[in-house]
Amino acid sequence: MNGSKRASFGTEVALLFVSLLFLLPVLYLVIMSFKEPRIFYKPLQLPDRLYLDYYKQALGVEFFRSLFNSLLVTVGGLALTIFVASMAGYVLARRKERTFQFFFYLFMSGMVIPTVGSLIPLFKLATFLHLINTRTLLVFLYTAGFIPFASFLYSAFTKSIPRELEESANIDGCGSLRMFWVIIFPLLLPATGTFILTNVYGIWNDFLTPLIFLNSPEKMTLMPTIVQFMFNKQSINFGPVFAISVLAMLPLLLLFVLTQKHMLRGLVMGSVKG
Amino acid sequence: MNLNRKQFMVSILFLIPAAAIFILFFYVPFLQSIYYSFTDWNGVGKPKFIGWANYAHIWKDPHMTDGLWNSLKMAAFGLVVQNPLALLAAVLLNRQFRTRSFIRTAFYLPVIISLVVASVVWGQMLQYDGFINEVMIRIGLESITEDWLGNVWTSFPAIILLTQWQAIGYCAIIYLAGLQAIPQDMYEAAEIEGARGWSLFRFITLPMLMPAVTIVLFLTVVGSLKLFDLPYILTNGGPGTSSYTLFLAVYNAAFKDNNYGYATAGGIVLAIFIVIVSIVQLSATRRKEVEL
Amino acid sequence: MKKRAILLLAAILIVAAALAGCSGNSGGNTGGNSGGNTGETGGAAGGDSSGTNNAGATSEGEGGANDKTFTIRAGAWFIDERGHQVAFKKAVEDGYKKLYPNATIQWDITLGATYFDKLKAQFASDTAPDVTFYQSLDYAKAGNLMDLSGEPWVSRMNEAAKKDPSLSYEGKLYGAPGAGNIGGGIWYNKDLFDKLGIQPPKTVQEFLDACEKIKADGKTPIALGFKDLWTANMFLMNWLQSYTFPTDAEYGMKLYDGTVSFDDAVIQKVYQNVETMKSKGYFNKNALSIDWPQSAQLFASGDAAMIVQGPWMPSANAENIDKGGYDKFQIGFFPFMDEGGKSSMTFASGTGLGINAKTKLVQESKDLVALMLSPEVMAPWLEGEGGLPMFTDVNVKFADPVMDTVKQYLDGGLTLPYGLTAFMATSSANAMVDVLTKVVSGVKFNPADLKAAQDAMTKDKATIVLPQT
Repeated sequence: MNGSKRASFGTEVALLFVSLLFLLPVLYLVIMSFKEPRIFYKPLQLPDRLYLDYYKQALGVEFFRSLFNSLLVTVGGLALTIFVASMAGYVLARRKERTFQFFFYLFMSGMVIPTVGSLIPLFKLATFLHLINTRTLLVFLYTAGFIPFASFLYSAFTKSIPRELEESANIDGCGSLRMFWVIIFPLLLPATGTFILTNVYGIWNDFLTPLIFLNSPEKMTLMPTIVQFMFNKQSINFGPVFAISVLAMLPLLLLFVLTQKHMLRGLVMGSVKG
Repeated sequence: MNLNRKQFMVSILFLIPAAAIFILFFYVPFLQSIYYSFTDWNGVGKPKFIGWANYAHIWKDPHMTDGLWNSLKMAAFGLVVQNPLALLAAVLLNRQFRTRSFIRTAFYLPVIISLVVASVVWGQMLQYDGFINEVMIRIGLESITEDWLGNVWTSFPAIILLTQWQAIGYCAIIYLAGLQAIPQDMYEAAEIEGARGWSLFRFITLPMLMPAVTIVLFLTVVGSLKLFDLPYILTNGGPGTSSYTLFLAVYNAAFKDNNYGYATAGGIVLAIFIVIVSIVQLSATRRKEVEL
Repeated sequence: MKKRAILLLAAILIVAAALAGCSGNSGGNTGGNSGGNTGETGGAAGGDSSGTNNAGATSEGEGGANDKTFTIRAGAWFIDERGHQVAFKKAVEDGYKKLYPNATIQWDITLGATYFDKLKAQFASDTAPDVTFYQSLDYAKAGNLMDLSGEPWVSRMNEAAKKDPSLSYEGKLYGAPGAGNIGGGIWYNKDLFDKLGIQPPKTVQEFLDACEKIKADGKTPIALGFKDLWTANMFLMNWLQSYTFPTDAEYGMKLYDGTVSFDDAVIQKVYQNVETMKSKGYFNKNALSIDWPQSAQLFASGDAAMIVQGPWMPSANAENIDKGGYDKFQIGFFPFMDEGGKSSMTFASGTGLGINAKTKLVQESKDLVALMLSPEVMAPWLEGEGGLPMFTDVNVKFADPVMDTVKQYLDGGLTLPYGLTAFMATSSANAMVDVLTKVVSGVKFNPADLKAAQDAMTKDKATIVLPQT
């Protein structure tokens, strides 16, 4: 089934070299997290033993608590976005009426409008809705922020699905919905995959939104916690900051290593062809 | 109710959840901020209406003008350098070879790293007595060691290069998904007709990839104009105003200078710029899409 | 209480349910599919909306006044894990428990300048803490803070506190003084100065000569950590103040009303001094890419002879030497000066402690503030902060003899309760700092660059709250 070309040996070596270059900062991060204070500020010296003290300092209650919170808002934000944007993107690609054109451009404008000016109005809105200092608010904010990209993506992928599929299914009003979730949504899985893979880190790694909209430490997510950690330890004791950074990176790393095969080959190839 | 009408209503229902969330949490606050852009407001107290004064001042403010200029340089760099590189990477990563999954992981890994973490690492590596200068000294390039982020000539170029560390992988993955969606039999058919190498790419890959190209170009341009986190954490726009981006100028006007009204005006100018650039760019690639 | 949130969720879920229900009508197996999706999002969103609403003060009064159960929020940007900060927090909590056994203090801590971004948004949306530290009188101007003129601790305030412009606005007192801070000055390695036979310089020429001697000895004369822009601001403004205030007490006012422009010859002189110092290599090479703790490290290690910092430097330095295992040395102090040897210092409470005007816990908040200001709580905290007392009955003993030097300078010279920045728009001050960092990065000083500061001043003049003492 997969007949992609083989790469020449030279190409492979060149790619390997470049990828090592790409990996270097990550390796550096990991190595630094194991370097004892004595050699921490000697950039080229490798640790001669595994120094775990930074990790002991990093693995506290606040780490696990914020890990859980990050998980919660990430899953919530992605799921809600996929749910609403897949439906929207689908109809935006299929319907040609003015109303839909209008919403298409309305959503697209969201990709270009910077949100920095909206902060205080948003704060007022959240207060009005009694959503301030809740993780629910973050889920809504992320969803609102992702809707433009996600519906654009879904709409672009919908275009590559032949219309005959829907036309052959006998559609009445309610059937549309059934048809969407049974026939179309699975075909849009590559879009879902692309969306998750390109945006999961956006929520996970977000620093500013939780910082501004959450107050209680019990609800705080990972990135502000790292920065807080950094301030507390101050920049002259960076070891634990490196350690907690590695820990915060691990879940996404794991996710990526586990899913890249499925996401990239299986899902994309399989479902588009199927 | 006729079928068409009913279908229309159902389609509207499909749209409502997304539209509701988007309008409520995105558009309403944005529209309110337009009003603030015509006021003198420090974020607390009552806004005072001052007409176009905020907009007039933007062109006198080196934060904004340098920020805009830097953002445009970066967008140009994204189009001319980053985008072809990402496409090249995707094409190569789509080939068969033993270490492929390792290399793919390596390319994409930077993308999943948060800017908080990235700035921790890069900040350390780019220090004057950090990793990069140390390596330079070891390989005999001591003469060009630099305080990379503390220098008006190198601070923004350094930031542009840092963005590439993440952006190339990010764009490559979208291209890769696009490439893999191209049915293999199209290639087979073309090869039977005698097409090889470049012409295969030119007449099959590229046209089929056009939706992905549109997405990537769009994201590249908008991403460059909206760049914020890296200069914010690494240099805060300095030294002087050398590494400002327009987005950072807006943020600092709001939170460093307490000029909330002025900042929203800057935000709206930024939005207008992005809209113009995107319309030009989207209509260009759309035309290409048709031509091909 | 949560009606609106629920309404919103309901609206979204209804649409989803309508769709799901609809598909349920038309056939069996899809209901599960889309229903599953709805459930998932609803769960994630709805799951934590219950029991998360504790923004604002929640007073659920039961029983007598003093055993009511409530949560009071206190906000600050500096209470971190340093020993004296932790002790301060604990002392406040313990003290408050005695007054209100069933009360809980919720600390809203966001370290660093982001706290102010947040506080502003919180005041704008009525979700600010009941009691908060603050730095800007904007809040008083906007009516966010409660008038505290009648509080019992007002009579305990000392002369410096009464003059403090960051506390009162239009004749009313809106905040209690925190630590009494010198605006900043030059801390030096006394052992190194003695070794090289350098006396604390009195004029700019002496200062430059000292730098030259230090450099000849192979050390960095001055450690800068300008990645933290406030340190650049401190460096610039303190030097400017010594150049301007001693000769013209009205200099700030003149900048404000425009009789003196931002490219005034005196201001240019300070930039030229910095340019000279840069060209002679008196700063650390990474001056612009390290933050203040790193520059403090450089100083503590003995590699740099001087550092421009605030009053917390002696205690921070002792801690750094201890942690880094460096050789101990005695720290010294002198203020910035002009060519003729004149200098001026500022002394004011860097922070005010205020009460949210809209708090529901009025008496409780007042009690909390009073507790924080009590000698038992205040004195140990001031010692850690290197702050001088602003209350007549608070006595702080400083272990480090350098504090006597500081006091001598404060008492002996021109000491003002405000700096030049009090007469400038924040945007102007920031534009001036940009010009400074540019010069420190090695670009030739160009007086035309100061026009940005002037333009910002023209635009934002209305935002300035002039000191009213």
